[in-house]
Amino acid sequence: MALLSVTNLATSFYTRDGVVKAVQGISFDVERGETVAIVGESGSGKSVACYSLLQLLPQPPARIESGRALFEGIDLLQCNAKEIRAIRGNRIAMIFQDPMTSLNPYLTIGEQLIEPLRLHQSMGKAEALIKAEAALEEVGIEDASKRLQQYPHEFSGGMRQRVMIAMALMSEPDLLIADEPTTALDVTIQAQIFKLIKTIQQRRNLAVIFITHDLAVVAQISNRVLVMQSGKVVEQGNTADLFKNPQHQYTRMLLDAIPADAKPEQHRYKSNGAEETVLTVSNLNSSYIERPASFFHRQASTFKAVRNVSLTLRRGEILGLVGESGCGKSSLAKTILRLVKEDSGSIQLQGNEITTLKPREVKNLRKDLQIIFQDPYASLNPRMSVYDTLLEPLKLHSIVPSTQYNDCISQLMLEVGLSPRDIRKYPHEFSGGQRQRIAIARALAVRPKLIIADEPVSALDVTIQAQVLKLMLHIVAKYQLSMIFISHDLSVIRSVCDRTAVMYKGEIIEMDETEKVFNQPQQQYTRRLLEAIPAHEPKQQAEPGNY
Amino acid sequence: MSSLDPSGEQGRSLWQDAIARLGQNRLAMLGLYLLAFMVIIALLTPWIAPYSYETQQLDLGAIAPNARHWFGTDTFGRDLLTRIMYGGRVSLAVGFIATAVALVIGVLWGAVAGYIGGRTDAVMMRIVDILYALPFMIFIILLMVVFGRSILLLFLAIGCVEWLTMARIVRGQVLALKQQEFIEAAVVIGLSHWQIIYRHIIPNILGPIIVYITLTIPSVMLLEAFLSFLGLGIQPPQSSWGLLISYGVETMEEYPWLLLFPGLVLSITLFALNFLGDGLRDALDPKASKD
Repeated sequence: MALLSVTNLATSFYTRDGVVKAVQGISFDVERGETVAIVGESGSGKSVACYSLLQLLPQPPARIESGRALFEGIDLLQCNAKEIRAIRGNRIAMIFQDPMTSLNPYLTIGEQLIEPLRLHQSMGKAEALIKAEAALEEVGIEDASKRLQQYPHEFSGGMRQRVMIAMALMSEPDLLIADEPTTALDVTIQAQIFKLIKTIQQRRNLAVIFITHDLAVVAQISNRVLVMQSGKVVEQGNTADLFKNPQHQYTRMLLDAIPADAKPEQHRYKSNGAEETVLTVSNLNSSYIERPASFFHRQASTFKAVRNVSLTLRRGEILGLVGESGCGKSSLAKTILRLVKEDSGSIQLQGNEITTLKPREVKNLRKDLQIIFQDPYASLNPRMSVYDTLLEPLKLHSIVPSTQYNDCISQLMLEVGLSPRDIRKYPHEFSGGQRQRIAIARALAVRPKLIIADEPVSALDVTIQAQVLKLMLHIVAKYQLSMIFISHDLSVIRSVCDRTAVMYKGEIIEMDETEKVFNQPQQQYTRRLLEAIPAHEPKQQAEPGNY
Repeated sequence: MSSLDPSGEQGRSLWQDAIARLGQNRLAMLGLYLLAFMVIIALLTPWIAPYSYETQQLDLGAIAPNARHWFGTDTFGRDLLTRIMYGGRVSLAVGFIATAVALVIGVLWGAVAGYIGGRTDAVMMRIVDILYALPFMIFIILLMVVFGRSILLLFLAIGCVEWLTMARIVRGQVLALKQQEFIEAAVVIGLSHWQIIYRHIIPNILGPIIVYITLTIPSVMLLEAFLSFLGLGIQPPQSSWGLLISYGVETMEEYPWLLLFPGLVLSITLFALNFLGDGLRDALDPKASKD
């Protein structure tokens, strides 16, 4: 018998605006020692389904309409609060997406690790601490006894996710539900975490439900896949079969949208004879203040984020900037944009030095330099309609005479693939992808020469991601813009960038034509980055029989 | 959103949208009408008041409400309705003027401190702390002694004290808001600092500001009554709602109407204010109005 057998699960949300049927009758089984991936875009109901199983959704507004979820013969959906607490975190454990927020910053790691044991098994403190130490060692954290005394902020993101896994495994669960556990992590760390989960799974014959939006991850880790769309399972099956022979149209669409499958020839920088250099950065250094000077610390402590960076950018070219979080990608962008003052070095935009501009002159510079941020939810003023958002730059820089504002804004909307009818709407009325289009329109409004895109598609679903990338390529080609494209996602970089620069600890360690960087990486670090990209084919997948 | 004009080529500002949304909120509109009614009555009082507010009819004494004196009379035989009408002039004025003073100083001070941050912020907020620490009464008495007693000065003095809390609330909000990417996007577009504060920061902190205003107006009205009671505010035979209520409390057992009517008028005004405040807060938040 299957460890967990879900039949016809349906969950709805009862809101003021009506009933949202988040999960509409899904069924699946999970066997011991097996990894089942649930894949789908945001809003497809994949998380809601799993949260329903553990009764983690606030009821109301959520309501489980029907279904059975037999976990070793117990129906999870029928359990009362006390019964489900005995299962939750004990027999079924869970790890969440963001390791930065899922640990309590005021408690030591040790205190948090022993909590489930003390709670569920009423174990003594000393005994629990010994187990905690063993658990930390199992997830590959060295010097475990010392680490137990430390607080979450002393751990890196990857380390924290390891701690979360250790915590989930403390009470020796039979089933682990992992909700996008590596989405917030760098690609090299992601590879390590996958390996870790796999090892532990084999050692303990653990069943894993893996919720993700990333098919590449699915290929790497799962035995079976459930593809969800709008609350329904549209396809399920063996991972290898599904990748080889997708049945449902939506599955095919997801597979097509993986950036590595996008044709790299789509956009290639074409030299137009006169090589016009738009941006020249030489020997740039900048730092940010970690702790400002205060009464007790006269000297502010600073961190050198950008070290001796030089680069050039030609007209119509896209330069990819890749590296792990904290490598100085965003600091470099902010320094070029004059949001952060450089320590030394020069930045020339079309031959004009911009580091020496007076504050008054910077305003004119803004017309040539624009940015697109990662999070379209945070980069638009929630209290401004799209019209006002787009009007602001037009008005400020007198791009067009005031009689043409309306035409110009309608045109911008069309350009980024939105309807001019929607200009009166506010940002929250748009989806993530549409908001990113608005942000692109805002950047385009001043007719800039250079756009810096800071992880512009990282927060978007994979199919939306492909559309937004296409739009960006179209715009670059049409207006002969130059773009610095910052991303931690190598496959995205490969599909859009002409040249790629790899950043490591504030320095650009390698910069060349994109295909050259990918095919013949010169640096050890670049090779490591490339190896960590999840394979898009499930061929390395260990045979299910191994479990 | 039903208020959307389908052919809408024109954009409208947040305030225009907010007014349209406010118009659909019945409770808020009721509050607005009630307040407007109170203000109009207060403005017209000298012409429409049925009696003089100071003429005493000692032979009459305190009589219960009747056809000639709708709200009854007080212990000196003065018509209570007239006194409430005149009192409303003082109370509404103190409520609105003192709050406006607090609003302007507090929002600007807090927004500038929070936006600039660093040392400027530290100095500005320490000034607020120092003013907080000064005993309020001594401050007012000092002002009265130096500048002489006048109602306008009283309004200003109260406003000068109430802005401190406003500045703190606003600064906290701005600090959180400053981290948002749309503020950085505004810098990149080329807006000046004042434009950013005015266009991007203040509209996003209106919610807490409005809530605080609806709390400040009643507390200011009661503060005036307290000061007047101590002899620092307005003096009899002039009146204010706060004063009428505090006299009403003394004679509550014999002449309950002397407490009931001023209390009722004050309560209705405060309810109206709260309805309007809640409505405004929702109307100014595009996310709050789904219908």
